[in-house]
Amino acid sequence: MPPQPSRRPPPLPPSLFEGDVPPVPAVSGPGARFFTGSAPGPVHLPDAGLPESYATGRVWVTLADPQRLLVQWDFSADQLRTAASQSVDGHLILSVRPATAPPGGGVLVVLPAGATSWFVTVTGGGTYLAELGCYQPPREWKSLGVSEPVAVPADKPAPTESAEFATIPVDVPFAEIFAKVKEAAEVSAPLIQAINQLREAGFTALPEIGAAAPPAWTPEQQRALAEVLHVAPNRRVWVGSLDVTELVREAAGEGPSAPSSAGFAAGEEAAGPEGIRRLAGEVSSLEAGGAAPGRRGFWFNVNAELIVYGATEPDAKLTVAGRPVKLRPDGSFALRFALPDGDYELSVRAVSADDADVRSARLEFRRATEYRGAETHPPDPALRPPKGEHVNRSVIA
Amino acid sequence: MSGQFALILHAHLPFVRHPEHERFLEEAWLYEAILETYLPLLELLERWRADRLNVRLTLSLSPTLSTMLLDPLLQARFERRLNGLVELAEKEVFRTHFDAALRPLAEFYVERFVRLRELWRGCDRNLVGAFASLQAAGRLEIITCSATHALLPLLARNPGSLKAQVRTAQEHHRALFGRDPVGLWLPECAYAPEIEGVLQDANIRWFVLDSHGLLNASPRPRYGTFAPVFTPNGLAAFGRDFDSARQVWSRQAGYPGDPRYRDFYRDVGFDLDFEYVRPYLPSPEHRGFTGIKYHRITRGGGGAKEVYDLRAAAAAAREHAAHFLTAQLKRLTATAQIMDRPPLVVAPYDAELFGHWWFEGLQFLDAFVRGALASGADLTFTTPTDYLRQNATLQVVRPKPSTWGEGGHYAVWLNEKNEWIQPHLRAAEERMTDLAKRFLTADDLTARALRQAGRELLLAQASDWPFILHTGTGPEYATRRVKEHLLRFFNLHEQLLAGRVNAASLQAIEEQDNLFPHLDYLHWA
Repeated sequence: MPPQPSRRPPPLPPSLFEGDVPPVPAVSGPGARFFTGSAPGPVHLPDAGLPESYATGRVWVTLADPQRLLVQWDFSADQLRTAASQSVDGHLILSVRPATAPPGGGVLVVLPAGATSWFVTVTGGGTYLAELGCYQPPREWKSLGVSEPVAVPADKPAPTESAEFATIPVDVPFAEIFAKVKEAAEVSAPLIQAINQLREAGFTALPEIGAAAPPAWTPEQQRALAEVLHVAPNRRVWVGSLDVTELVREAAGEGPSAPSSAGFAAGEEAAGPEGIRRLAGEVSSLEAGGAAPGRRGFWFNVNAELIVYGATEPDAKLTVAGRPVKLRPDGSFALRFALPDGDYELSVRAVSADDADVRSARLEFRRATEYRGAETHPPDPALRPPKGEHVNRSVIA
Repeated sequence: MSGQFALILHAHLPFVRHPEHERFLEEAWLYEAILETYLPLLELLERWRADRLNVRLTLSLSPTLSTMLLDPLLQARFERRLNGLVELAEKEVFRTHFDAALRPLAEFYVERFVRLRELWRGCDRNLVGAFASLQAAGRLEIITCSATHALLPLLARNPGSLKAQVRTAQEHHRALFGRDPVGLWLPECAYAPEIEGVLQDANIRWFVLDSHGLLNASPRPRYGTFAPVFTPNGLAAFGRDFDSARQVWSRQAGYPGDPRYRDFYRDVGFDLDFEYVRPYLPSPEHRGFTGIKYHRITRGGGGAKEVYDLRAAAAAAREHAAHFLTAQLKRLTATAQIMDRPPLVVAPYDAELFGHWWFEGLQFLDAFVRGALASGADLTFTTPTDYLRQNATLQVVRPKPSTWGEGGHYAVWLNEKNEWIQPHLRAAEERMTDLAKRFLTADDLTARALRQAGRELLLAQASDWPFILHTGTGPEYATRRVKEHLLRFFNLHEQLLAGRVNAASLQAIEEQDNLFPHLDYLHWA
């Protein structure tokens, strides 16, 4: 069979190729609903990773909130395995207790193999420390490391006490104040206390700084102001940077995204002294589980746009629908128009640079869409808002 | 009634400069904020100045943000993006020619973008300088925050890091504005008594606490959040007024959720033909925000969005401003009758709330300020520094550790998604202190490596990365940033200990993470 002669397609104007570049990777953003394509490539991560540990053998406890402490320890995997293997039950134990309590008290957490951190629930204020260890045969506590103590603040208004007032002009530098205080004595107390102590001892420098007489204040004033302030011992509403993103997200029809911490409290056991409870079975470093995505109905959008293109002398003046249009260097132009259903007309006019020649055209268009099934019409009210969790949003931290 | 209102806007973005890519998605955070918040804010402040409104406010400019605003590469890229948006908006005027509802909006965006471009060029692309001019004219007070927006109480474990974050920010501020900051914005309002020594050494005179940090202070503060207090170290602590915060941005009842306001998410970058919008997207391979949005939040209708109505949105902003003003005056009037001094309302907000998240937010502010000044009420717009100049005598209390994050403490920045960062930061912080002590003097190359190690550590300490990991809005990027900065740090640490600094790779890192050129690594010593 003889080869068929090749049939070259007729040339198409360049403007019709505008944007017709090969398909690109798709989006992970809210437009995913309106866009099909492949997924974006993975984010490049450094080739070398951070070490699993630095094997310093140290334990830290950090206040996450007044009810929750984060305990972390820095041991190599080998160190942890070896210590666990020498224990009576093959486990390491985390003890979190008031700083004044003896070893082995407070919250005791039997750690799963390999754990390097734990969140521990505490109640009430006070100073706590954490200790990592294990019981070695016959049943002797072996400490692997003890943290520095951490103060847990009482998260409620303090009882009313007598008020102390002080005067410190903002424009007197601290360095100047300290210099004069140090002239008088070596004082390690907080600044205001130090000045007051020195003054009681006859210190006369910095006359404008130091204790001031408290203005009169009555219990009635105190009660009245508390009503204005809505002082509540247990605040439940917080407003910060995250809240505005949630507000905007919810306003856009999305649900709250903040993960609940509710899943982390499982496994609490018998309460111990001073409100501390024995915990077991918690899992450290959980990823908060998201809700299963709801079933998405079949969807279909159809839109129509019109491209008007052409060319004239590069220095000509062009108007479309009475609006001036900037020509490309070669004198060509292309404009897109959204085309809802209906009848339309468009006037296009070119005037030569010397105003001597005029060319114009009047274009008429009609779009009539017959919908079958769910009706849509551009601008399409069925287009749902982008999903907030996919939006790469600005950070307000 | 006599009262004072301290409006504090905290402007911050993490350092997202990526010269290694021609267009980089996360750099768009900066461009969106410039276009939607910083330029419109400047425009508003200039209008207030022109109208001779007696308004003073406080602007906290984070060092990472001001560095980026002054970066020639980012300035050029923003201008390229702005030019693109003008072009896109002009195309939109034609595209919406047959759509009577959208066309006025397209014309609105053309006018807006062109106007803001003129403002941008008019201030010589130097927003920091423009705000500095307003400060010099007495219109606002600029303060700083920690160098890379690190949560300072978490750094109390390493005094060198705490000092470096505060002193670097202070030195950066001095270099930009020719004066020291009087106040310092505590990132996320995170406070613990352990940070006071460093603040005191830097002669920082005031900071802001969330309301519970002050209300739970010991002894109980007599005036609640209606007056600042001195800590025992003589630093003034101002408490955020909870009611004014809740009204503006509470997720339950905040004004920005009104259905008449512009929808944040619905953007032509997601709605229109990909190839059409592609040249104007933040990243050429991904859909993203352009800033041209045609829909309002809308309520009901099964999720369908109605077309944004400029007039209705402006009316909503005025209504909300009037409501806010009425509420403020009512509370201040009640409080003034109780207190023996004029009550003060401290209202701090993220600056990006106004314009970026809440498109009409600056209209709201404008209406609130003008309404207050026209009301005849004895309400003064002040700054914390001005307040302290007029009121040098305060109650002395010990504030409570606190933040303004969810739960009031560190649950956002220390949880199961992001706690893995902390051990690495601790290790790096201790190594940096060791380096500083080891190299009290250093030759040029070694000093450069030490400075860069300090920069990498500062960048790794930013609170933004654990925040993003918590919210899940870009965890890959946040993870990558933390790892990259820490790995660069550890690599430099090894080179310094071995006495073999690789000059070529050092230069490459210096060009990429180029903030704080005169960083003093001895802060860590």
